[in-house]
Amino acid sequence: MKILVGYKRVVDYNVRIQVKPDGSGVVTEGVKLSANPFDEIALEEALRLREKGIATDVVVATIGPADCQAHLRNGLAMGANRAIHVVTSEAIQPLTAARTLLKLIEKEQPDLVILGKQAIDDDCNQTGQMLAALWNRPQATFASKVEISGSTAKVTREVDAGLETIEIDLPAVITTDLRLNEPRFTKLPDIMKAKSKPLESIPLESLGVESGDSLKTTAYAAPPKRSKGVMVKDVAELVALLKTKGLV
Amino acid sequence: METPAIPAVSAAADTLRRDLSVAKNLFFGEIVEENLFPYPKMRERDRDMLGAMVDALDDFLAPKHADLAHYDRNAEQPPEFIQALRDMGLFGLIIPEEFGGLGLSNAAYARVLAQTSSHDSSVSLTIGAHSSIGMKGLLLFGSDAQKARYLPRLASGEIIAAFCLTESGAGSDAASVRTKATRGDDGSWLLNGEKIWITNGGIAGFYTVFAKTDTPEGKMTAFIVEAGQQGVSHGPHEDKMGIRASSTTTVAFSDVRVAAENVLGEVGKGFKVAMAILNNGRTGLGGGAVGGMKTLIRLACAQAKDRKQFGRPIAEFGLVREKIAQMSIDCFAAESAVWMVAHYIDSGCTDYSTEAAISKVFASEAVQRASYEALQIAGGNGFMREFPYEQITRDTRILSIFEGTNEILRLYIALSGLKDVGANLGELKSAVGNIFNDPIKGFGVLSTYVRRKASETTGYGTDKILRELHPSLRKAAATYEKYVVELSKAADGLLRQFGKAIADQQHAQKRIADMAIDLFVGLCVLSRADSLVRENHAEQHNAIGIAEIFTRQARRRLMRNVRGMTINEDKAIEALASAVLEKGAVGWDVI
Ligand SMILES: Cc1cc2nc3c(=O)[nH]c(=O)nc-3n(C[C@H](O)[C@H](O)[C@H](O)COP(=O)(O)OP(=O)(O)OC[C@H]3O[C@@H](n4cnc5c(N)ncnc54)[C@H](O)[C@@H]3O)c2cc1C
Ligand SMILES: Cc1cc2nc3c(=O)[nH]c(=O)nc-3n(C[C@H](O)[C@H](O)[C@H](O)COP(=O)(O)OP(=O)(O)OC[C@H]3O[C@@H](n4cnc5c(N)ncnc54)[C@H](O)[C@@H]3O)c2cc1C
Repeated sequence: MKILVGYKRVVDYNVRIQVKPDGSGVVTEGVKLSANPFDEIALEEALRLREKGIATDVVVATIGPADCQAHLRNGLAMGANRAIHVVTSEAIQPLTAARTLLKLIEKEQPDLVILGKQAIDDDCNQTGQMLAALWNRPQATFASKVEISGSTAKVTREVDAGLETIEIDLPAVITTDLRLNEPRFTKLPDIMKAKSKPLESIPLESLGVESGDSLKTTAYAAPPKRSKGVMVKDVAELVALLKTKGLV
Repeated sequence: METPAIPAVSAAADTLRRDLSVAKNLFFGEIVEENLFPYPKMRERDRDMLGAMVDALDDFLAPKHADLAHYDRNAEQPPEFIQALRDMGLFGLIIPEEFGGLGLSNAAYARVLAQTSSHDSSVSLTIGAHSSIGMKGLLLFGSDAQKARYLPRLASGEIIAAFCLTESGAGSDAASVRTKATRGDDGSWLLNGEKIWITNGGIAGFYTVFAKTDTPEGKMTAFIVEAGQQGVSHGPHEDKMGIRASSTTTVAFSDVRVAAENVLGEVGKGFKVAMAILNNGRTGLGGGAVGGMKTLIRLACAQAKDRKQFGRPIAEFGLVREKIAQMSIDCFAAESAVWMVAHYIDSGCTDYSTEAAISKVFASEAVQRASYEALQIAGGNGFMREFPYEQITRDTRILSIFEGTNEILRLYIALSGLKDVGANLGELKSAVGNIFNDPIKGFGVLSTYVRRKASETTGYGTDKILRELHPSLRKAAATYEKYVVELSKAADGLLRQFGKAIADQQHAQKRIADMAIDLFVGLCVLSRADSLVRENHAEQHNAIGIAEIFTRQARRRLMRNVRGMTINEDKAIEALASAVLEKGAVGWDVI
């Protein structure tokens, strides 16, 4: 069984995001970039399936600028067998990403595609769903548990009402939630081994993907600073204060 | 010493004069520009991997900070943590790939230790004592059979290595070890004696042991001894001030039978083996010190920006800002010197022991200053154990004591420079030569010396560094060009004044050593700043600022040391020390 894993590069979750002075985007220069945490969970799940003998081949794929190679090497160091880098200098939106991934599916013929439920940079939460629709295959989103038997997958999903377990036929798209697993540490010898694993680069233009980008970003702005709160003695004072501020 | 030359790839290496020591040439008033400029780059193979390794080490250690503090208080790294270090691959850093290691260059290895030290010093010590000294002898001097036998298990950490030199009677005077090995008729050896303060002593499986051997070949020999051998034992973990979690124990050898094939290097050449290991391992310690400084700077910045007094963040006060700036200068300077030395080692330079000693002295003292100042910025919090400052202060204190005390290394820096000058002076050739059991090199180059003397007098005030420099750096360069001549005059003057007796003039040696330290470190700073300017690096302006400030500070010290050669209180200090020592206490009181 072959698993294709989406592995996006984002600004590290520990970094305090800063908006560029001209509002044209967020500062990424000199800022630590890492794998999207949900994608690391996706890769971890794929690696565990391989270790259980269910999968044989784990391929990580990213769509991003030329310097994403080091990022993909991290995925290889974590344990993926191969990496595919779709090279583009443009930031793309979910539909374009889904169309691009579909091209990779046609090429790779995976039995399972695992993506993060969302990327922590744009928080779109759309690519997995769009991909399943384009591919015309089942989807199981927000997975917190995955069990594969034969050509079906039993997936526990985190939904608003609690947990929901569904069974889907493979091939399918699964998107990961936070509690699915805890990704492993990368070990130093694996970083060295990753240097000799195959990494294929494909220019996005060569895939003939029709752009699905339909949103235009007009400006970026930092969220307004929370103003300092005041301590009140009791409920009476609170009510009085809310009244003077015209809030009740 | 035979260090295998690793093919150098950086541009700097192309013109590198591998047989020349920059530091020793300073004593002749020479600046070996080829060996200083451009500032060396990390090998490409290592640079590619280091980014990922640094991240992986952060991911591994950052969640363990509470555990690491606990190991410090409990004075032990538990077995499962040692296992985690093995799993991480941290025992194979410098072992070649064909033996299952990572094959890192000296420069990359030092960078890894910088990263581990930025989290915890005891971690660095466990893996550093293994790689920097414990098994380094096997890498440098081991036979093919010895390497094949031990390196794979050392790389996996299945066996951890320790370096056994120090004894109760032989600390700084390492040549005076009493542990004895006697050769039997079958060529095997019988080993007896006790070593103290052996890092990894309690967890090691592989000991590099130095013992006295009364053989025609020489007085000391290095041996490989396995922990499981009959007669090998170790004492309990020492209760230490710092690096408490790192294992330090005595290691005793009682009638231990060592096979002839476990002699490391040549019989009788043990002292050379020991010194080669220590010289080659110094960048690990220096790298660790730099990593520690970077953490201290981060902590100090956060604290200074966060803490408000007098209605303002204390980061706005000059006396706090001065500390932050000084820590940054020290950090840049130590880093510049340590990785210059690592480059010499990686490029197969043969004579780098003086530079290695300089980098160790400077880096260890720099991180100690930084820990003092960072703790001071934190005020009362700095004194509290729930904050990391006090542990870092305890942990870094060892750095000026082991792997050669900084006093011994200062004497070494001075004497190794003076020795070459002395050798060139001809009649003084035996004056300082034997102090470190190192045969005098460079006979018959009197003419070189004469030529150098001539250039020293005429070369004053002319550019010794020929490359084009940024105007600010050009101005800094002039300081080094001037004081390198002053150093050579001072060296020459001392040798003429004291002759053989220079070996006893420690006050003068210290001045000479401090001049050499300022000159070498300053030139490394200059070179690094120059390279950052040429690269148009984002930090180039800070680097120029640092080079300017460091040079001005160094110039004041250099001036003082030059003046001290002739005008000083040495005699009065000696007299006072004699008086106090005789009494064993000071005699005064206010009653
Ligand atoms: C935590 C720890 C770990 C260690 N790990 C190891 C290890 O793994 N392997 C190993 O072999 N050793 C190890 N050592 C030993 C260490 O290398 C020695 O402590 C060091 O060499 C100094 O020797 P000493 O302590 O006997 O001090 P001494 O040699 O007694 O020196 C005491 C003082 O006198 C000064 N002094 C000595 N001689 C002179 C001189 N000629 N001129 C001027 N001043 C002088 C010294 O600078 C020092 O200030 C370790 C020590 C410690 C504390
Ligand atoms: C063990 C211990 C015992 C103590 N016992 C007592 C006690 O019995 N009674 C008591 O009242 N207090 C006590 N203290 C508190 C002690 O007096 C304070 O820690 C001390 O006054 C420093 O204050 P701080 O820790 O808040 O540091 P801060 O005031 O926050 O200072 C932090 C750093 O900023 C520097 N700084 C602050 N302001 C300026 C400025 N304007 N310009 C330049 N630099 C500045 C300081 O010099 C320091 O380096 C004790 C503290 C300790 C650690």
